[in-house]
Amino acid sequence: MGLIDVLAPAEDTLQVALSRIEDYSAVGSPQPLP
Amino acid sequence: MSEQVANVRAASTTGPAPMRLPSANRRCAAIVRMNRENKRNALSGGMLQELTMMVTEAGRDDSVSGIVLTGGRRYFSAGADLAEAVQVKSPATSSPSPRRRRPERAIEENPKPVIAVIHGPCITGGLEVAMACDERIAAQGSTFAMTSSRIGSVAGFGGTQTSPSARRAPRC
Repeated sequence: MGLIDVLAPAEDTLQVALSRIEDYSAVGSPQPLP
Repeated sequence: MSEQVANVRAASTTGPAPMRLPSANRRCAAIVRMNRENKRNALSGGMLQELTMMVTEAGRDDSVSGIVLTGGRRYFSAGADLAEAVQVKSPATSSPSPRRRRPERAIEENPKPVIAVIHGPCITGGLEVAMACDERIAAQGSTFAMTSSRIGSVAGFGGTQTSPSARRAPRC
């Protein structure tokens, strides 16, 4: 976990986020923090 | 923001009566937007409650595959609404925060991935909310600060635990 995981041009941020959600969907949801 | 992409549902905090996520027939991403731009998305009690409710609701929705949390194009959040905070008459009325106003808990415990999309200032309470997310996607030029100590306060949403662990360089 980093403060910023991805630094992107402003016009790309939403698309990057949606892409990451698709990645999560492929491998399973994250586990809650302990 | 959502009009550029397909397969998303969007809702935003609106004040006393929050919008509900519209229903969908297939799995999609839910976009939750903090929408108090005239206050730089300062986190009032009402907004915290709405945010907590919306994130929780999206997490329980089987049609939602993940949640994008954003403040729009200009601000993520300026942090706690200090104009509201100074009206607190006694510590007993401000601490501990009711669970319904703890969006960081709703985010951390959410069964769906929660991704923060950050544009502009992301300050103190806003940064703590962002840090509770699974990932943070920041626009170039975004700014981050934890300023609680300037007003003799502490980071009350877990920032003292989450911030020290966040020192990794971002992917570009």
